[in-house]
Amino acid sequence: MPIRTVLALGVFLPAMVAAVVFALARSARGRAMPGAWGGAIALPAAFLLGRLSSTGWRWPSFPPTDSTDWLVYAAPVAGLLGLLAAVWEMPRAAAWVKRVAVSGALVALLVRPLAQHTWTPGHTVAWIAAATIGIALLWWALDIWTRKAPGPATAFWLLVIGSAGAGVLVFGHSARDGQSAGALTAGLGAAWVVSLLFRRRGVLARGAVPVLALLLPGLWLSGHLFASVSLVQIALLAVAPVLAALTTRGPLSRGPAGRVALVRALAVLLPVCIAAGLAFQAWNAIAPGNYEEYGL
Amino acid sequence: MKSRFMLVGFVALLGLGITLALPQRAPAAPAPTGPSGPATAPGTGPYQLDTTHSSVIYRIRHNDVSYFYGRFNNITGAIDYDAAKPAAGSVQLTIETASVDSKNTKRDDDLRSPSFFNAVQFPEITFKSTSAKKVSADTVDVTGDLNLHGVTKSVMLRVKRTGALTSQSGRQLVGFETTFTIKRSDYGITYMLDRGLGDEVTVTVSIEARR
Repeated sequence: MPIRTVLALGVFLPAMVAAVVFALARSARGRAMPGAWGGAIALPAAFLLGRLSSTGWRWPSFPPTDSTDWLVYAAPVAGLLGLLAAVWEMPRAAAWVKRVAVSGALVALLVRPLAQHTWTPGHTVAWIAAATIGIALLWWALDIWTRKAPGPATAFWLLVIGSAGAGVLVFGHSARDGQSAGALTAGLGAAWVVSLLFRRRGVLARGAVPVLALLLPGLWLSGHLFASVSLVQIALLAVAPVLAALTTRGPLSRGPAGRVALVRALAVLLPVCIAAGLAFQAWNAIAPGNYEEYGL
Repeated sequence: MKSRFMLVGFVALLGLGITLALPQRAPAAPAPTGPSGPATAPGTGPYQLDTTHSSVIYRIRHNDVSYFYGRFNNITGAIDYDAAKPAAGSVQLTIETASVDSKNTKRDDDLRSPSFFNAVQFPEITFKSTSAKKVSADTVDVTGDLNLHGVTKSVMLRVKRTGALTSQSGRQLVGFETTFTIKRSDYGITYMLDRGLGDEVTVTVSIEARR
């Protein structure tokens, strides 16, 4: 596939569509985070555009025979959860129940073929439990981070995390998931540009959080379970938003703005750069056989 | 007298040595069959696939410019073959998905990933015949279930018997070959569809089985 086609369909188109949605997202009267519903529509749209354009615009069967195709159905579901979050502030306990239930359902669907044919019941339960807790924590971290630091910088750092994740997937021999992550990241880029151009804050708060919390780790898990992405790389990618969220609270959030920004930058850059570096190193270490164009 | 005896003995030994050195022919073995050769009857019953001498090759259009060929290295299976009634036979083949080989390690890893075959989730590609219909002396149309990427579809394969013989050791060998075309999108393998990789994949399976 010519690289310009990949970029056009996998980056430019999703970014443009997301940018239009983010730009159109209007403030609702009396709401603390105006336009919070934008992310709930823009990001699933960007993801689906990237995914479907790379697969001949074929919608997977329902239920999918390939468990990784559940992410295609997870995108609109996450969008609906985002719309709900944009208009309704759930009680804390209910929010945690929602995070755990939805994360657990997604993980269970992804690992189902392995649970049926390869894993022992104990291994399955442990795996689902651990991944569910991880995704729920990531969800919580994203929620805090986007609310406490609603400026354009948050969108930028999420763009960095998304880009690193896409790179990890591509180097981990999951090109399709890498392209899907790239399209989602393009949507994050659109959010960053819109927040800069329109001086809008909280572009990614609330509405975008469920989408990012489900699709990003969903793609990373797919890369680990069925391709060559290592657990270490996933853990590093997932810890970046958690560390960034921690910089919005306590002593790390106090002090000169420049220092806070620097700490947050390090909190994101260190783990994602290590993750991307490990992925590239693993890819480069494979026995000879280079091909310039990514494809058969 | 003694020298004549030694000469005869030497000639006899020489003759024996020459005889032993000559390539052996299978005694009273039926001649190998070809498309127009005489029919042989290696017998009925199950044959096990000789994995070392069986091949699975695929061809796919690349960039709408050329055809690319790859293969699967591990194929196992069994054939229940009746030379007198080929339509009554059956075949069951299993291909290890992870054995895909495109001469490029990185590309092979891509092929095994969720982008294409998802070998972790679908470790085997299988074909199991359900019926067969004799077309000619050496050709049978075999209908069966092809399971690929978790999707099972009925396909019809025109199978040609490429040869049969009984070896010197008494082993019976039989060979078959078929070429068929599928659409990978029918089996949920849709990555890069119409974006550099064709939808149609032509597969050639050539097997040798023995018992």
